[in-house]
Amino acid sequence: MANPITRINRKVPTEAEIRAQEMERLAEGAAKSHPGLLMFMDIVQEMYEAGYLEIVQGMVKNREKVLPYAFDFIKVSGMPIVMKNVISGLQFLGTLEPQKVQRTMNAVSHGLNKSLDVDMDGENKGFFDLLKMMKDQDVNRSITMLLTFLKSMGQHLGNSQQEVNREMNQDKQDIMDEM
Amino acid sequence: MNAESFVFRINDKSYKAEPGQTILQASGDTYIPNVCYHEQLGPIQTCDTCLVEVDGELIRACATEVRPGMQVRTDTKLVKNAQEEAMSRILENHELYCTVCDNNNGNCKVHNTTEFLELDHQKYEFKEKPYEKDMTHPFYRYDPDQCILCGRCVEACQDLQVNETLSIDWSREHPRVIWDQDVPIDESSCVSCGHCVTVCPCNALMEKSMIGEAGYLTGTFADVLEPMIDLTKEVEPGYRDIFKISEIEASMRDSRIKKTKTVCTYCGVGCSFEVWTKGRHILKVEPNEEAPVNGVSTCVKGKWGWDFVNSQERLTKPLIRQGDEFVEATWDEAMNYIAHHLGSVKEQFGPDSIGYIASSKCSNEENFIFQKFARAVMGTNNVDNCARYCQTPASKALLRTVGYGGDSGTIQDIQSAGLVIIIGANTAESHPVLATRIKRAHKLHGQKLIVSDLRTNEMAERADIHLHPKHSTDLIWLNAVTKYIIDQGWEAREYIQQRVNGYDEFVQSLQKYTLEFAEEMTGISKETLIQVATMIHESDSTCILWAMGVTQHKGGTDTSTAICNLQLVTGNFGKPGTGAYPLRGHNNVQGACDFGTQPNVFPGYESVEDDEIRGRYERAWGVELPKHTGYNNHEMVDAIMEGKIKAMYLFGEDMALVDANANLVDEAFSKLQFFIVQDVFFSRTARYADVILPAAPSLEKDGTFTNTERRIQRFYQVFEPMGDSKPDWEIIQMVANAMGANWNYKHPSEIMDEASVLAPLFAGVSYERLEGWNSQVWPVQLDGTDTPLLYQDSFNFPDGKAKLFPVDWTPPHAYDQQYDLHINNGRLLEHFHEGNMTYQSEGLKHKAPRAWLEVSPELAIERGISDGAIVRLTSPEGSVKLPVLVTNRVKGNELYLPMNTDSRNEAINFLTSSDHDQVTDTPNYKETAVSMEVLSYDGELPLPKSNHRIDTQRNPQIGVRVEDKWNRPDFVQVAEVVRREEV
Repeated sequence: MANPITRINRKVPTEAEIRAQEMERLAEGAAKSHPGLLMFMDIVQEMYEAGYLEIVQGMVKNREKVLPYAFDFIKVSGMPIVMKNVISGLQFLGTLEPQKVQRTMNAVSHGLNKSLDVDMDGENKGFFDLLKMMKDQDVNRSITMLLTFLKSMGQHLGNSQQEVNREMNQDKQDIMDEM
Repeated sequence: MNAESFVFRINDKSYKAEPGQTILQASGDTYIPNVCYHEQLGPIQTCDTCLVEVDGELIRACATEVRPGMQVRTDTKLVKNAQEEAMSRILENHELYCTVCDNNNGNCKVHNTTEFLELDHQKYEFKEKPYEKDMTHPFYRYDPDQCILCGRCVEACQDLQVNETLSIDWSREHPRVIWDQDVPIDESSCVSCGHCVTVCPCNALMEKSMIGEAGYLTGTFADVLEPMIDLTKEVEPGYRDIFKISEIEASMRDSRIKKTKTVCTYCGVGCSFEVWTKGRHILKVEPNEEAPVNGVSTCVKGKWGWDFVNSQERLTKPLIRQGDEFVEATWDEAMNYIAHHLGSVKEQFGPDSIGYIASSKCSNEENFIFQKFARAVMGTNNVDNCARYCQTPASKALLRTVGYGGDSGTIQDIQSAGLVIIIGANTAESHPVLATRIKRAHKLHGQKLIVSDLRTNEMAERADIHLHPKHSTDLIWLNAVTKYIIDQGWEAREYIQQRVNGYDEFVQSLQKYTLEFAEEMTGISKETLIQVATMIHESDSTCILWAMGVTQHKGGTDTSTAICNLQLVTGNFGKPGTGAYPLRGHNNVQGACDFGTQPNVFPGYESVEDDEIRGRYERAWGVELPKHTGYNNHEMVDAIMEGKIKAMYLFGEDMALVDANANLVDEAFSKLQFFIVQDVFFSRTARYADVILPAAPSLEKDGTFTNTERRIQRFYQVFEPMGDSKPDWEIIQMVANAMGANWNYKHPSEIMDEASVLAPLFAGVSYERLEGWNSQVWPVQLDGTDTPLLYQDSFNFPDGKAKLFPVDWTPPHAYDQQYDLHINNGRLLEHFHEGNMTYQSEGLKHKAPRAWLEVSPELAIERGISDGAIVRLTSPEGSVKLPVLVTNRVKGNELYLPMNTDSRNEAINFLTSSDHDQVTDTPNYKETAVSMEVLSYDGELPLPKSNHRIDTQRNPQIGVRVEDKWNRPDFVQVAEVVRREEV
C-alpha cells in the first residue's frame, strides 16, 4: 500500500561540501597542467609587480563606463582617420607588384648612390649639356618613367570612391594571379 | 540520360536539364548567386542577384525554365553589373556589421553573397527605416533596419506553413514586413512556428536566444554595439577585407557552438533538425532542407520548446520512499533496493504478478530492451505502452485489412494526393508540420480537403467540406459513403478482383447503411454524403488521415476498419498519393509498438504465442520465454484491483494522468506493493512510487525514433545527462543486471543490431545507414532497401490480398439525462501532453498559460455565461473546475477541454470512464458526458491577448506579391538601370 506523497527530501550539499568538491576539481585540473600554470603564475606575478594588473582590473571592473569613453576617445582623437590611413597605406602597398617594385627600388638606390658621388662643388652643367644628357638612354628611361607616372596619376585622380576600390581590388587580384 | 532530359550551356560548358527545371536548379557546378531563392520555397524574384544573360537579355535564373540548347552567360560585364546593382539595392536596406552580428555563423546568405560578388562598397547609402525593432514576441525579433525585403519569410508563412500572417506592405514609402494588419508580432495570428526566422537570409528575423550569445563580441560588448558598428564603418577598408575579419570571427565560433542533429519529441511527425548549443544554453533550433520529413519546417514546440532540459525541477538523483517522503539515494542503493523488493514479489507471487509499462516517448532501443527485460529476465508478457491509449485500434484495423500496423505511405503521398480526408484529428495543432503540407497543397495545388470533426478546427475551416457528425457516429457515414460508391458502380472493380478478398460478404454487410439511415444517425445530410462520395470518386488519389477522434471510442477499432474498407473499395492503397494514415501522437508511438512493448507480440509484430517465433528469441537469449499473451495496461489496472498484479515498473509515462478514469488509476497504484517509476520529472504517477529513477531526455542521449510514417531516424546526444540522471536504456540495463541479467550494452547501436537480427521487419536497419539526415522506412530488407510506400505489389497476408472486414456500429457509452453536455478533448498547439516539458518554457506559457474550457456561443447564452466564467463539470467518475472561453469552434451542447494540464482540477481524465474499445481496450475518452454548474458567470479571459486565438485576423495572399514591388512608381528594373549606365 502506497499513499501518494510529494515530499522529496533532497540532500542539499552544504556550503562546505560544495567548496570541498570545487577544491578537489581545481586541484585535479591544476595538477594536470602544472608546467603551464607555473609559468602563467610567474607572468601574473611580474605583471602585478609592474602595476599592470591593477590597470587591467580597473578597466575590466568598470567596463560599462569605460568602454563608451574609449569609443568616444577613439572618435574624438581622430583615431579612425589614422586607422583608415594605416589601412589605406597597407592597401596601397598591396597594389604594387613586388618584382617591379624591387627593380625600381634597386634603380632608385643606384641612382641615389651615384648622385651622391657627384662633386657638388664641380663645374655646373650648361643648358645644352643637360639637353644632351636627355639623349642618354638611361636618363631618357628615368624621365619617361616619371612622365608616365604623372600621366597615369592624373588620369586616376578623377576616380570615384567606388572606382578606386574596384581598381585597387583588381590590381591586387592581377598581382596575385601573376605571382 | 533520361529520355526527356536535354542539354544546354552555361558559359560554353554543357549541362543536362530535366523539363521544368529552372536555370538555377540546373546550373550544376556553376554557382549562380542568389539571395531570395530557397529550394523549398521556390523562386520569389525579389532580389535580382541571380540575373544571367540569355540572348543578350538579363533574366532571372531562379524563375526561368531552361530550354533545350539555351546559351546562358554568367560571366559577362552586363551580368556583373546587374548583380552588383542588385546587391547594392539589398545593402541599401542592410547594415553590414558582420563581425558583431549574431547571425555571422558561416551560413548568412547576405554576407556570403556580398562576398561572392566581391562587392566592396555601398553604391546606395544605407538608410535606417522609420520603424522600431519589434521585440514583442517571446521567441524572435524583427529588425526592419536589417530587413532586405526579400520576402522569404512571407513566402514561408503564406505558402509553406500557410498561417498567412506575414506580408510585405509594398505600398508604403518604406516597405516592411507586417504581421496581420500591422499589429505587434505578439498580438498577431502568428503561431510561432519559426519558419520565417529559419528562412531569413540575414539577421532581420532572429531567435532571441541567439542575441548576444552567438558571437564573441556581440555579448561581451553588447552595451557599445552601436559605437562599435559606427567605428567599423568609419575605418572599414572595404567589405572584402572586413569579411575576412568576420570570417575569422565566424570560424572562431565553430568550436564553441555545437550543432547536433536531433529528432523532435513533440508528436509523431518526426521532424529532425540541428540544435545549436553553447554549453548548456540552447542557441537555436536550426532545421535543414535535408531533413526527410520536415525540411525547414517546425512548429512552436519543436522550434522553441526545449527549456525543460535545464529545468531545476528535473529529477537528478534516485529517490526511495521512506515513510511519507522520498529520500535521495545512490544508484547502488536504488538497485539493491529494487533487486530485493522486485525479486521478492516475483518469488512470492510469480512472474505474472508484475506489470511493465513502457514509453512511447523513449527510443526504439529503450523499448526493445525493456520488453527483453520483462520477457527474458522477468519471465512475463505483461508489457505494454501508451499506444494503448491512442492508436492501437488503428493498428488493429490495418492489421485486419491490409496487414501492416502503420501508415501506408509517407508525407510525400499525403501532399501529392488529389483528396485528403481528415477524420477526428486536429492536424494543424496536433501534427502541425504535417498539416502544413496539406494546407500548402490545398492552397496552391488544387488538393481537395474533407474534414470530419466536431470542432471547427483550422483544417475544418479550410476544408472544401466540413462534416460535423453527431459524436461517435463516424463509422455510419463512412459505411454509407462506401455503400453509395458501390451502389453507383464507382468501386475499383478490377483492383478489388485482383487484390482484395471478401468483397461479396462485405457488400452484404453494408445493407443497412443507406443514406437515409446515415442522415438520421449522424445528422449529415444526404446531399453532403453524396458530395463526399463524388469527391472521392472524382479524385485520382485519396489519403485518409485519422487520430483519436476515431480511435478513442467503444467502436474505435471498427471505425478505423471502416476507413480501411473504404480505401480498399476505391482502390486507394498501394499507389502514390493514397493510403490510410493513423497519425501517431507521441514521437515514438510507432516505434514502441514496433519494438515489442506490447503484451501479444515480439518486435516486428510477431506473435508471442507462435512456437517458431518464440523459439527464435529463446535461442538468441538463451532462456525459456512465457508462452501466453500478457496483460495490456488497461487490464493491468484491473489486475491490480483484483490483487493479481502486485508490482509495476513504469518508465516515461504519466499513467496517473493519461489513463482514463484517473481516480480509479490512483486507487490501483495505491494498492501496489512495489512500484518503480522512471522519469525526467516528478510526475503525478511518481507520487505513488517506491523508487524513482531519474532519466535523461532525448537531448541527453543517443538513439532512434520511428515516426508516424514508419521512418526510423537517429538522434544524437546534445548534452551530458543532468546530475546523476541517466539514459533510460542504461537504467533499464542496470535494473536488469540487478535482477541477474548480466547485460553489457555500451551503446544503443548494439541494441539496434540485436533487434535487426531478430526481427525480420528491421533486417537492414543499422546506425551506419541512419547516419546524419539519413532515414529508413520499414520494412527494411537486409541490403538496406526500405519501403516508403506499402502494398505496391501485395498486401501483407499469405496470399498477398487485402481483406475487406465487415464492421458494424457500436453505440457510444450511455449516460443518464443529467449529464447533458458532451465533452470532447484533445491537444493544444502550444503544449505537449500533460505539459511537464512545455510548461517549463516561459515563452510557451506566455502564449498559452493554462487549460480552458471551450463553450459554444449558443450554450453560453443559454447558461448566461461569458468569457472567463468559472464552471464545474461533473461526470459519474469525477469533476473538474475551469474558466470558460466562448468560441464558435464548438457547437451547441458540445464542449472542448484541452488535455494539456497536470492540474488535478482541470485534467479531463477525472471525468472519463473506464469503458473502452471492444477490441483493443483503448479507453473511450471521446464519449464522455458531463453536467455543468456555473460557479461565476464571468471573469478574466483564460487566454492572454498574446495568444493567436484571441482577436486576430490573418492576412491571406499568395506569396510576397512581387508584382506590387515592381509596380511601385519608384521601381526601375535592374536590367534597365544597367543598360542605362552602359549607355
